[in-house]
Parts: sequence; C-alpha cells; structure tokens
Amino acid sequence: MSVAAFVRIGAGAAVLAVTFGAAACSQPAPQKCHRYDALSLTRDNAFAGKLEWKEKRMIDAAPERIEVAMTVIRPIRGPIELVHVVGDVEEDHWTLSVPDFNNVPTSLCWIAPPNGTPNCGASLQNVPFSPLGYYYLRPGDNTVLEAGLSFYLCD
Amino acid sequence: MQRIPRWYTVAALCAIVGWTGTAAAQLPVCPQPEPDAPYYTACLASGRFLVASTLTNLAIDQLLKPEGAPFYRRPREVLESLSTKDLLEKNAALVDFLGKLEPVKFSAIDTSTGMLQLDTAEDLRTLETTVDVGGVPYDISVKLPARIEGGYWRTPGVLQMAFWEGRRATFGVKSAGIIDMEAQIDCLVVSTDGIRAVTADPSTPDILIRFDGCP
Repeated sequence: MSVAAFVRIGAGAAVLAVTFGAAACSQPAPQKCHRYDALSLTRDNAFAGKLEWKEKRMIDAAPERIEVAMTVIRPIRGPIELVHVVGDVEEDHWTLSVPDFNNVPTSLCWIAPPNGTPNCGASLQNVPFSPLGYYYLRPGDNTVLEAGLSFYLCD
Repeated sequence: MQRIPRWYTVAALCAIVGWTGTAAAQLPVCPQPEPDAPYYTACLASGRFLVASTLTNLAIDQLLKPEGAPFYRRPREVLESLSTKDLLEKNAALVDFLGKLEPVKFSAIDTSTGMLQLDTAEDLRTLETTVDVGGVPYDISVKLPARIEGGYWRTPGVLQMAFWEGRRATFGVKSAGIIDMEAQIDCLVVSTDGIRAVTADPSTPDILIRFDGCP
C-alpha cells in the first residue's frame, strides 16, 4: 500500500500511488461529490476567518457535510463551539462534543444535514446551507491548537 | 479550468511585507475542484485511515517541533510499513528507486504553512519500470527535476502541496485498456476524503483517488 508514500514524497509518487495502491484507474469522468478545503483557524488568526464562497452549490442532504478537523490537547474538557456569521447575523452555532479517542490529538467532526450522521452531536438545522460567511471557534476549557474547515458537496 | 497559482501570490506578498501578516497564509494553496471537469479516478477503501494517521503525525511535527527545525519523511520506510511483503517483492525496482531517494524536508513557516524540498541525485531522475498490481501490469515512467520544491498548507484534515514551476515531477502510467497518461503534477491535495493530484496542463485531467463509495 503506498498512500502514505504518496503523501510523503509529494508529487514524486503521485502516479505511482495511483497504480501501486489503487489499481482501478478508469477513463476520465466528472465526479458527483467534491471536497472543498476552505479555512484554517489558528492562533495566528485568533481562530476566526472569513470564507468567500463562489460556488452555487449548497449543503442540503447526506453525504454532504461540514468537516471540522481539530488538533486539541487531551483530555477533552467539555464542548467546543463553532459559530457561523453572515453579515451581522449569527446564522449557526454548533456545539461539538469531540470524542476522546485513544488520546489521539486530532479529531474530525462531521456537521451533517438532518438525514446525515453527525459524529460530534452537531447537525445542520437550516438547509440548504451556504458555506459563505465568517466563522470563529470557541474552545471553551480546551486547549485547541488548530482547526480546519472543509465542505463536502455533491451534485 | 482554474489554474490560479495562489501560492506564488502568497509568497510574493510575504516577501514584500516581510511576513508581517498571516491572514493570507490561512488559505488553501491548491485550486478548488471543478465539479464539471473529468478526473482519472481510482478508489481505495482503506485510504481514509492511512491518511488520517499521516495527517496526525504531520500535525504533531508541525506544531510541536522547535521553531525553525525541519522534519523529514523517508519514502521507502513509509512504503515498507504499509505494503505487503508480496507486493514489495513483485515490485522490487520501484521499491529500490524509492529507497534511493533522499528524505523529503518539511520546513514550517507558521501553524498552517511551510516549504517542502526533495533533492534528487542525477541517476535517480528517471525511472521506467513495470509494476504489478493484482496481476495487472502497469508501465510507469517518472521524470524528476534536480529539486522538487514547493509550499504547503495544512490543517488536521488536509495537506495541500503546491509545486513550483520547474520543480515538478512528471509521471506516466500505461496499461492496455485501462489507462494511458502522462502529466506534470502541479498540486497535490491529501485529505481524509481522498487524494487529488492537479496536473499542470489544463488539457490533462486531474487524478482523484476516492476513499469512499468503493465497489
């Protein structure tokens, strides 16, 4: 299996990984779903950032979702909050119950639409959801080192 | 196809302002996917877990290494730790090639960004071999510059690597009736959802290895 090698030697192994680790290459075709990596929230930007969103696509049904990836010092000490502001209005406010899994310092939380499967107890209440807006993180009693926001959208 | 070299813009701005502002550095360096564009695709069901582990290790190195201290990744060690003995034995030429490559050097700039570099010896800049995957032969060609170099942006969920012009690798892969392509890799996106390789030539489809929905 060469996926990690692909990661670690960068482009130098791209096609090698395609063939060596995942042999099911096919003729080129459009894909139904795509991941859009959007923001990094760190101490450098006070865990806040504005997202310009030019896509017309919005989240409205599974498997679409928001992914919040976090590096947090263990143990987890209560929920972490993510706030979404559009204009001057707080449109969404998610309370993430981050699982404390084997003391692994990174966690992935999926904020899913109503028919999806959230894994940190937070769902999208207002769909369709446009990623456009301003986001900030409230770590609560936790020591959050960084977070990343991405959006998984389908046709 | 959108080919905005955002990393160049960020690097130029940083050079001008002396890296006094960090807001620009918190944005991805690879172009976003294009929903209507065709992709060469493959599927790897176990990829999510492997990449998650890799991204966690990268987060630890990026965040906890002393400031200014680079960290390294050796290609062959990673390959050996993740491959079956049988697969390694069947593809000895490829394993040997990876084993001779220098470690990739990662130099962090801030929490999210950094530079990467891989110098290649002259006798390791080309490779033509055939690899065996599940009994199917694939003809592989690799052309490397003297130095692979670029910038990266990362979060705990993704690593994006943008390679500078003239510092990119070129690959070809061919198997009768399955695939026939050659491309220079401009940008690489490694996430828990998959791996996306952005080709430098807009007329060559990008490559996508998905980790879910595999047959």
